[in-house]
Amino acid sequence: MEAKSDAYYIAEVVKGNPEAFAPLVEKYKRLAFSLSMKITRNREDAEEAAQDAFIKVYRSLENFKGGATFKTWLFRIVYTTAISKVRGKKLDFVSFEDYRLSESELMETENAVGQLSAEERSYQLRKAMESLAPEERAILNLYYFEDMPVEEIATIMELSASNVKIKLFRSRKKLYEQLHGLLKGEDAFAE
Amino acid sequence: MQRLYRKNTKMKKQDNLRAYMRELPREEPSADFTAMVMNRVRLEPIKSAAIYQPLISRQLWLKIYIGLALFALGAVLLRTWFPGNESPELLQSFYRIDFSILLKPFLLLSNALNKLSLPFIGGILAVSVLLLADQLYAKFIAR
Repeated sequence: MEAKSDAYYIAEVVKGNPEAFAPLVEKYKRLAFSLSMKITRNREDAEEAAQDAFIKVYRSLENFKGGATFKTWLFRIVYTTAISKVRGKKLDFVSFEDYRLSESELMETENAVGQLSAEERSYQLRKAMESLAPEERAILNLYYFEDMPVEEIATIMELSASNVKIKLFRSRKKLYEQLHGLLKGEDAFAE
Repeated sequence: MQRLYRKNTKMKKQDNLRAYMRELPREEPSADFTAMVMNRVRLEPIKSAAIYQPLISRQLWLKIYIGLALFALGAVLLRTWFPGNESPELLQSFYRIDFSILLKPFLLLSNALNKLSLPFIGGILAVSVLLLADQLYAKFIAR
């Protein structure tokens, strides 16, 4: 069966056919859950937030004017729902240590990360991401993992494009600082 | 040269991080995720959007235009083929119909427009063009 456009299913739902929402959920559930998981870091919370987001989307489908794509609009709602969930739980994120790296130390860390095996690198990256703030994790995920342009991220996070670039820069730097701490800690342990 | 080197280095760093992030597995939702969402959707009140239809649809307008065009063409052809007194009785009565009544609204509009100043008409035209350009931009470019 030929896949129809998002606009088709949206129109069907608005006309009074709720089952037409299922193909939209099926199409975007992985992306929604992935973003939610990056923010909440907890599977149960991520599922709940993603499901809540879809319900919010369903309730306000009539208001979707098509100014942004449906995907961007959905991501916006997933982002705000997941962030609210995290803030509601008042989860603390713990940095391993407060590192401030020089340019050369940053480059050193990047090289060191590049030398690791893919498995080890993923492990360290995941650990380092956990110590970032939810918004920082979200922005890195959207830009590097989901490959979204800055303008789209700006719409999702309700920031200006220049603010997104600044936050990206800071989040990236913080990520490498955390990686530096992790790798340094492992080296110290090995010694 | 140094600026180019810094820019290239920066791009390479971005590419590296992008590649590292892409190595991370994508978390998958539970197998019954869609079913759970749809269960909740079915509890919601069913939507019933008011679908607004124009009084005269586009297709009907098209038929009206074609009808009028055929009528006008027919009148011209009949005059050509059966000019003046040689035409049959039915066509004679047809020629006696005063079609200028159809032109009256256009004449009234033309008279009204002549009273308006040129800058005013120019202003309305400019605003219309800007609105049209904005609509076209929103529809085709800013997606």
